[in-house]
Amino acid sequence: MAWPVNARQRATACFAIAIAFALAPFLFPGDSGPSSRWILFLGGFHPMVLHLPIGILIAIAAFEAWGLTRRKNEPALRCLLWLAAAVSASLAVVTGYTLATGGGHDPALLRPHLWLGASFTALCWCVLGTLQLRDVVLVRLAGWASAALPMLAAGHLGGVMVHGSPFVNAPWRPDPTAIEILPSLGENIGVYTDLVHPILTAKCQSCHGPGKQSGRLRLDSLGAALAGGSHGPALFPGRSRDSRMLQAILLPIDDDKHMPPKSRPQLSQAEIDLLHWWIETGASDQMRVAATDAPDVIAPFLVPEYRLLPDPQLLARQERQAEEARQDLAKRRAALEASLAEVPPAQRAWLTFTSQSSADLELVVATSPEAFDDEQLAALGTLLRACVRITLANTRITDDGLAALSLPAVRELNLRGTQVTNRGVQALAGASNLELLNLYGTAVDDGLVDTLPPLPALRRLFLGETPVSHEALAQLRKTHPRAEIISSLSVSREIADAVSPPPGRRP
Amino acid sequence: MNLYRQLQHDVVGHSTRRHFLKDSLAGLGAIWLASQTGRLFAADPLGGTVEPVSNPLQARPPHFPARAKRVIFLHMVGAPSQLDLFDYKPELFKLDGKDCPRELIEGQRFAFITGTPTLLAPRNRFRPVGDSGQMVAELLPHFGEIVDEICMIKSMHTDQFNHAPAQLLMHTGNPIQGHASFGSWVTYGLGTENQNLPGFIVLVSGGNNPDAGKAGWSAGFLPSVYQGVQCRSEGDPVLYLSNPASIDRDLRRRMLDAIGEVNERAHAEVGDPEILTRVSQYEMAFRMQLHASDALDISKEPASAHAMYGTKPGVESFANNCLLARRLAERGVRFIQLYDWGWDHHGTGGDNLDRALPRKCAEIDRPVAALIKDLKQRGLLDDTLVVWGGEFGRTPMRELRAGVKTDSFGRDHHKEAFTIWLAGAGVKGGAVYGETDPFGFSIAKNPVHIRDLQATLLHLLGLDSQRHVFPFQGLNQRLTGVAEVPRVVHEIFS
Repeated sequence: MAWPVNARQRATACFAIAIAFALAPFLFPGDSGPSSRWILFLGGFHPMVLHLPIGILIAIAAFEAWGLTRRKNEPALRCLLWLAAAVSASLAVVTGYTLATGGGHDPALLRPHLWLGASFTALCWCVLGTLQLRDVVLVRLAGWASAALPMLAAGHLGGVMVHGSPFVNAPWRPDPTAIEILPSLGENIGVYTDLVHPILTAKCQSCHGPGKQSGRLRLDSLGAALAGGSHGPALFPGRSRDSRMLQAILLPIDDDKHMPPKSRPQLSQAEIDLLHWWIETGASDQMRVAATDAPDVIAPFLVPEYRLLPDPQLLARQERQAEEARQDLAKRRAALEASLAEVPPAQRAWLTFTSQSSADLELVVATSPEAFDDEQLAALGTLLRACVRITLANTRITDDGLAALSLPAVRELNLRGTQVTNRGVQALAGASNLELLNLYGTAVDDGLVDTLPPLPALRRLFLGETPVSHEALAQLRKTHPRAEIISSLSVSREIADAVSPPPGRRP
Repeated sequence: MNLYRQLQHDVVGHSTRRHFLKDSLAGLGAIWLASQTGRLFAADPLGGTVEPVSNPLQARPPHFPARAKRVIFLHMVGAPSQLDLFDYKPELFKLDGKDCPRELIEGQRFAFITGTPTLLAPRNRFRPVGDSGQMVAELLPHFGEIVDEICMIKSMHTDQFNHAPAQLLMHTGNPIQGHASFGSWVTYGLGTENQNLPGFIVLVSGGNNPDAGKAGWSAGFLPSVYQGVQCRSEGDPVLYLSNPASIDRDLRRRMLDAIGEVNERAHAEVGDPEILTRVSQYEMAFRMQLHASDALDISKEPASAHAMYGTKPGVESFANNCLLARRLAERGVRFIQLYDWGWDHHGTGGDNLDRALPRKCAEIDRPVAALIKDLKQRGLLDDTLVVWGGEFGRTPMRELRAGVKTDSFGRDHHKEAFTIWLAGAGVKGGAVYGETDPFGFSIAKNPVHIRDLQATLLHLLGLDSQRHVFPFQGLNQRLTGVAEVPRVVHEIFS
């Protein structure tokens, strides 16, 4: 390729442009406001154009790495790449410059950004110029490094200006949202400063705060909340129904627009009620109430150490315990299923799990109970240990057969219509969890007063159709005051035959 | 043209057997997938569908632990008037005979009422009963003895105002025939405790079958083993249950063994679940020959029981059916459905509120009270759910068919608000849920749709209505319908 001018001239031109860019920031007028719509329009391209030199610098690095490993040198291609970098960087400076004149940026960030951007551009031109004179490895690498550093710095500052600093959420820094425990409230409570602000900080600020502004909304100050984001103000004082913040909070948790997002800690009902009340009463940051005279919505927060966010350690412990319980249940269930598989089908039919996932069994002998006796019960062996509900109504079970039961497990025992007597009931002394005992139509009698064990958990005792007398029932009600004792019931004999005509009936 | 033919020939020549197999991969995959889906559904970890078992009526665990183990559903066919029995509206006494406010009936359709009807006061006196002091009609003198076991839902509403569709909606979740009934869904989910009796038994009284007919206890798309079995309280309890005159029990047994062997072989070959249904039904019929006759024979009850229920053995009556329901519940039948016909009191003649309603009330008052008390004393009310109600309610307006005034008072069908009650396992006693407006026309508080009631009853039985499904016609069918999500009325649970 034949250049129209010689290397020295090309280099001189490059250095001249570099100096021009290096001095450009001195000419920056500050945010004078957009001078024309064209300027504004041009500025709009800055966010797009600025990515070009970044990409090209990466391409140069790749190109050099390729050249070094393959021991190839393509000086023309190198120059072309650096030219592209320099031109695109210049475009970025020009568009950025016009964008900055539009104003609205933090000058503390804008100034260094402009300086760094301009020096990056100047350096690009310098490298290009130097390459015209001496294309050696040192120039290539040092040039690349000296350009890349200001580019990184300028890029970072630009990012901070638009998106906020990424370091705010850095893991090694204290979490700005980590107000886990509400500071104790004094005598005179500032509704906004002492309650609303900490709540919003704990639950909202990780996305709507100084670090990040989802939907361009910040909730770290009342002014910012009232100013709102891209969907308008977050709240309207006195109009909770129209306030977008409350609307989002009250949406069902599965709704995409629900706030806080499903995966984040949610607001408690007390916190929602407080925000609602605060907005309804004017959403002021000056409002104060006395602790002694606090309205109901504030009462939940008066407890010491009100937790805004759950204790992560406690949460983890609870989760671990729940998981252990789940695994334990699954293990017990699997063991039971294994032993059930060994039971002959006829007996298997009497046993059912209390639910599809439980590890408790029910023993219900409803099919041919007249063929079920003590021996059959004893044959169930260790499976009885898992039986919480046992229905042996109308079976041929006897007092002796009850010895096979594993008493601590049983919660409901139905012996209706069996030959069980006072003696058999006496054997239930160890049934510490027995809540329901059905002795309807059994052979128990007044002697039950002496033989019925204390049965601390007993809530219902059925004694209908037994020879137990009224006096004995009265005594049992005294010895077992927490149990409802149900004896024979009947429908009253007299019927109100004379049903008088209703008032207001017309003839 | 020749060139084109040549091209076609070349194309065909290029597709080898290998190409064919490669191209049909998707099809082969689909065939494989279809062969697996049956198994996939059966092993659904959510427990949506029920595992196929050798005995389809084997008792099975519910989704979650539950108090209720069985249901006795007392359906008053024709829809009793809630306004004359349970939903006390004193306001109506003042407005008796006045024109119904226009805004109340604006846009409403009724089965028979046209034009502007007049309001009708309750046709009998109410009195407070029980510890809860609820206002109940004097027509039900024994109701006060059981009211503290009962939870009334006064805010039921339905979609249908004609008997048959409304009954189908109540019992199958759909106003159109062909869907599985409540009892079938329950036995499909939970099996039954007593293998000598059907899991789902239907008893009818009042002289007529319900308007929906046998579709009200059909298994619909579920395997037909879950269909309700209608039993009779006179004669043979189940038609054709006894052996013919010359066949004894041994011969019958040998016959069944032979048929069973053939059927098992057929099942091994084609795998049709209906064959298993057939086998188990033959076997059950054999066992039922012994046990059903015994279970359904109320003459074995002591005189005290007959006095309590007001039963007379050998006739068809609601009282007899109540006593039978208790006998069946005691024996572990999962779902006992009673229908009592004759509650459609329009006032167009004999079917009026002044004579026919008191007569029906007298027929059910003592048996219902006896049933609840008998279940309670035997400890059965702790795990049996009793439901009482009609398919819809009746209007607060007097029905004047064709505008002719008579001295016969009645009310039209009303789907906007009616009362049902529940008692037993897991339900609050002496409670009222829901409220109607002062006219008793529409619901003022806490509406409960039929599907909400169904979901609530399923929940009490330990079944999640949304998970208890059966795949049919490409849809996971549910009792409560596939379109809308029902609300379980947790507020009535004890």
